[in-house]
Amino acid sequence: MRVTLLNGAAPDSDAFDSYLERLAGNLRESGNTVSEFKLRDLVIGQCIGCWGCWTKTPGECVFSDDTAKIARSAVDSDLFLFASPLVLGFTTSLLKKTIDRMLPLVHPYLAVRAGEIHHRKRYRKYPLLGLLIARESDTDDIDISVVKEIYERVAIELATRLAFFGSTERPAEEVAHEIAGL
Amino acid sequence: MRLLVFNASPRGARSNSLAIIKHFLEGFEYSSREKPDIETVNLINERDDYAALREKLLVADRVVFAFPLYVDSMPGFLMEFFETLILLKGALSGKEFLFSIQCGFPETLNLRPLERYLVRLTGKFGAAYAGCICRGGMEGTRYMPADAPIFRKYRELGRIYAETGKLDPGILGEIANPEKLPRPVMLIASVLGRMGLMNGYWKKQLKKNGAYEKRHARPYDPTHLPR
Ligand SMILES: Cc1cc2nc3c(=O)[nH]c(=O)nc-3n(C[C@H](O)[C@H](O)[C@H](O)COP(=O)(O)O)c2cc1C
Repeated sequence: MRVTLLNGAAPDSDAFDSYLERLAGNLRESGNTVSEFKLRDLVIGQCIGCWGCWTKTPGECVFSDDTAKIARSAVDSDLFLFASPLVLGFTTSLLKKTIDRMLPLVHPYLAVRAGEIHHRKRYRKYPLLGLLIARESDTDDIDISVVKEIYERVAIELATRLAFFGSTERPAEEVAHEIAGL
Repeated sequence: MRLLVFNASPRGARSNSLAIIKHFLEGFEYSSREKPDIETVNLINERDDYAALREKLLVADRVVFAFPLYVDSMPGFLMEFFETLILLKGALSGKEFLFSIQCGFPETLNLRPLERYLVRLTGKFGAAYAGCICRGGMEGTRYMPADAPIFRKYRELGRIYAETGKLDPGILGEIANPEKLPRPVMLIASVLGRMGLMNGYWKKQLKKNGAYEKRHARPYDPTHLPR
């Protein structure tokens, strides 16, 4: 399978980075393709809420930066895998800024999906969504359920479903195996 | 009493978030016994100087965060700001955090997971949680007249908050209505959606921008052959 992996860790996240390296390595060894984006090294502006990606240049943000590469890669993937250490019980701002910029992947027109009003699909096929987190020292079950619940909704927004949710406490090999089997 | 208001919509001064919270603040100011010291900051304009904002936070008694739902949580740059507040951990106890969030889809249920997160976040900062005002279907708000019934509810909520220090649950509920659209309405929406009849606003914008013919563009469609 093709995986687009977003590393949302802040600078100096050596343990997290090397976990993702092992994960990507394992996935590649078993014949999968992994395109990794280290968000902190890329140019990613905050969405300004102008709707230009829907009404001026449909399907593309009116500002060009590295998010276009990410969106292009995501559409060509089977799994869009977000990876982020938890900070204050949530995924990082780096990851969140990137997700906000994925709006052009859907259509402005509305449709009923999952029994709610959401945006219509723009593409025929969307990658499954995955979220890999690393716990903080004070992370508890409520934190985990809150993050998971939000990302289940993010998946609906991106016309897909949250097919993987896990933490770096599990060995990278095991996570790679699960992902490859999706 | 110092009230510090962060408008964390990326649209800044021209946002729904600000248009809405202004009414809450108007009610709050009206009913405060002493004239409160209220400062409103458009966070998007202050991204170069979060340190100055942290200073302001340290001397505030109550802090309001007003912002739109962005893909089921906060806009990314607001999370960035929250991350810098880690530096203040321990210094925020005794302060009260209040949230006003709103979104585009009509059902307020869209905001509930974020609301649950904001409870957790406030706890992690050691601040006191004063509540969260949630309302769906607000994209057009910034064009609404000041006497719109929904604004009256925000003013009323602000007045009661000034008097009692609490968000009135009854008014919160009225503001949050509809939490979920009734089944018959969803069925109609589903039919209208399939017929393409819910998209008037977008069609108009697309045409105005001369982009209507390109509305279904798929610029990132994979170029390789189907697998
Ligand atoms: C990038 C982006 C993501 C959004 N995500 C959602 C969403 O997940 N659910 C929703 O109901 N509205 C969503 N909206 C709509 C906004 O919440 C809505 O338009 C809001 O009223 C904007 O408020 P503001 O003018 O204060 O920024 C999104 C808007 C943008 C620009």
